Formats: sequence, structure tokens, C-alpha cells
Amino acid sequence: MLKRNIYTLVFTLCAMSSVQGHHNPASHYVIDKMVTVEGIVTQFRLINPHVRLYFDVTGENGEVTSWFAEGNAAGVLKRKGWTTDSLKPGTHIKISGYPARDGGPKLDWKLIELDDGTVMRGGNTVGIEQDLLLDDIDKRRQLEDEES
Amino acid sequence: MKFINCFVRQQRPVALARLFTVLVLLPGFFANNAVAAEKDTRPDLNGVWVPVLVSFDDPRWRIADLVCARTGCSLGGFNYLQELLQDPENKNRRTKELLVEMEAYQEKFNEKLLTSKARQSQADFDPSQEASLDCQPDGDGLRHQALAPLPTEIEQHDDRVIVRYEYWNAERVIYLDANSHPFAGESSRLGHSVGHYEGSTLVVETTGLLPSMTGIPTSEPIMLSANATAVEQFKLSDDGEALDFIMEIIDPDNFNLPYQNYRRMLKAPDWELDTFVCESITGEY
Repeated sequence: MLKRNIYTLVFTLCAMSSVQGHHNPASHYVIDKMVTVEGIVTQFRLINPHVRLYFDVTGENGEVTSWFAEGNAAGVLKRKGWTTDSLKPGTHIKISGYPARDGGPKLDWKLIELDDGTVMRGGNTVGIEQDLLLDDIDKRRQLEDEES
Repeated sequence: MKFINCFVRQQRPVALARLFTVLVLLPGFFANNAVAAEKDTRPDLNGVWVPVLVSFDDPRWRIADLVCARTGCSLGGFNYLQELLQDPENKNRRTKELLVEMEAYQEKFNEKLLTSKARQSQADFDPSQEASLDCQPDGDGLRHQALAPLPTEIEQHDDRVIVRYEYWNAERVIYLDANSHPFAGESSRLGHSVGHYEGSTLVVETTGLLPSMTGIPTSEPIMLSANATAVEQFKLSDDGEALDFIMEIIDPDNFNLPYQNYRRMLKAPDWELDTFVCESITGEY
């Protein structure tokens, strides 16, 4: 039986502009809170405006709840090698992201961890992916310094 | 006078033929040459151009471009960040620290930029009330269209430039002859654009924009007024590998100064625009 774990951590986000005309995450998600949930993928949709992942979470009482999470735009993720098979039905995942404002089973995802330890990103870059990108940039700066 | 006399002294048919040459053919000759000369000097912007988020690992990116990955930075903020990154004293500081410093600079700039009306509308903004466009681009304005993190394709013609965006599968026509294409008075999402070349830069002026929500770095979004106009610059780098894009929005209702957004794009000859397939999220929120 899958165990549902929710860890909440509150942090202050940098004030990077997070507004997007088509879809402001703050309008649907609590963007100063992070939760982590475990579940089984039922469907992955590689579409715009944001890719969508559907997964089932089994509670401690055995009750199964269908969750929904959204990540970055399909146009961006496809160029990073994502395909419709990147998250196959039946895959066990640990997924973290912003919870829904209405308290429903929804996430704006940041990271997805697979059983083999693989960590998949693919989150919406607005705010949520920003810190990860900055880490990548630090590595690149270091490389460029070494090369020069 | 000497010039006129030379016609008077000629036999009439010869004189008329020469006069015809002077008055009719030569101006055309010079005009054609002027067009040819402009063609020779205008920048070659044709092809697909890609922003950071779809080509992050490309070594042509500068560090500041990577930091401004999403929809670019303000032009002032970008230049400030460049200075921070080039300062040897900041060599060992984390990029996040520099970004925070750049944002502080931006916030200070915003104090001068935003009018009291803009501040009030920001104070009234409630993100929970913001509607999702749900696969309808109608409310998505020119700024976000032009700065979305997806590829753009440019096609240059003598009388117009066509800009195609993967985002929303949108297409704009920029008329190079403003007189032949006056603004008809009907506003639209991407407005009415006329352009001209200034050296290696295509300059585009857009009017007739429908009001739309516009993001401001380090600040809440604002609704642009119906009087907002935009001036865009597409500047080709010396090596032809990069396109520096500046969008200046002029909207006295909201901005005390023109608001300038900057982003670089890279030439991507092997790329094609993908079809933007959008699927409604209605019912899932």
C-alpha cells in the first residue's frame, strides 16, 4: 500500500516576476508553500499551455484519490527531450510542488523523483524552477572561469 | 541655366527624349538603386530564433541571458546585472545573490517607472481572481507574445516583415511602407505594426493594442491602457548569431517613463516552429 506523505515547508520566494498572461500560477496555487506526495501515474499529457500529469494517491485508509499536476509548457519540455512516454502509466513517483489554493488534489510541480533515484524536473519555470536554473548557472559560471 | 539651354539647343524630339530621361527614368533608376542599397545593407533576420529556455545548453548564451531566461529582464536590469557579473569582486558570489541585487535595483527603478494609477491597480490586484485564458489567446498581450519562451521565425520581404511565433501559432505582419498601410482604427491583440531599418536594426512601432495584463519585473502585473503603444528593436549582432530584442512600452497612464524589456535570441538554422497544441484546463482547477 502506498503511503501518502505530505511535507510542508514554507519559504520566501525571490520577487522575480511570476506573471504570465495566459496563466498565472499564483491564481491557482499557493506559491509560498511546498508539498510532496507519492502516487502512481495514470496519464501524462504533453500539451500546452502546461503539461499535465495525472496520478493516483492512496491514503492511509486505503482510499484512492486522483491527483493532477502541471509542469512547464510542452514546447519547452519537448526541446529538452520529454516525450509522451516520459512518465508512463504505472510509474511510482514522489512529486513535490505548490499546492492548490482551494485545497484540492492539485499541484504545480517542481520535482518528480522515481524509484531508481532519477529526479525529473520539468516544472513551470515561473518562480518554481528559478532556483534550480540558478544552480545550473552557477555551475556554468564556474566552468567558464576554469576555462578562462 | 546652362542645363536648360542644352535642351533648348537640341532638336525638339531629341530634347524631349533627354528630358524624359531626366524627369522620368533617372528618378526611377535612383529609387531602384536606393531600394537595392537598402536591401544590401539591411540585416538578414530571416530564419528561426530561439530563446534561452529551449536552448539552455547552447554555449553562445551569456550568463546574464541565462539569468533572464523566462521572459527577459528590463533593459536597465539586464545592463546592471551584466556589470555585476563582470565585476571581478563578484566572481565568487552566487548568481542568486547577484540576482537579488539586480532586483533591488529594479525595484528602485519601478518607483520612478510606475504612475500612481498603476500602483493603485497593483494594490487592487488579486491573483486568485485572475482568469486563466484557457487556450484563448485574446487577453494575452504583445509583450508576452513576443517574450514567451518559445521560438520565433522571421521572414523579410521588400514591403513587409512577417514574424511567426510558436506561442499561440501567432503571426504578425510588420509593414515597411506606413503610408500604404495606415492604422484602420480597429484595435487588436497584437496591434498594427509598421517598421523600418536603421542600420542593423529593424525598428517596429505598434499602435492599436487592446488592453492586456503585462508583467513588470519584481512587481505585480498591470493592465495596460488602450493608449499603450510599443516600439520594438530587433538588432542583429555583428556576427549574425544573435538577435537582441528590446520592447519599449509607452503608456503614460501606467508608466512615467518608457518601460523597456530586453531579451536575446540565438539563430537556429536547423530549427522549425512546432505547432502549439493547446488543451483547455477548464474544470480541473
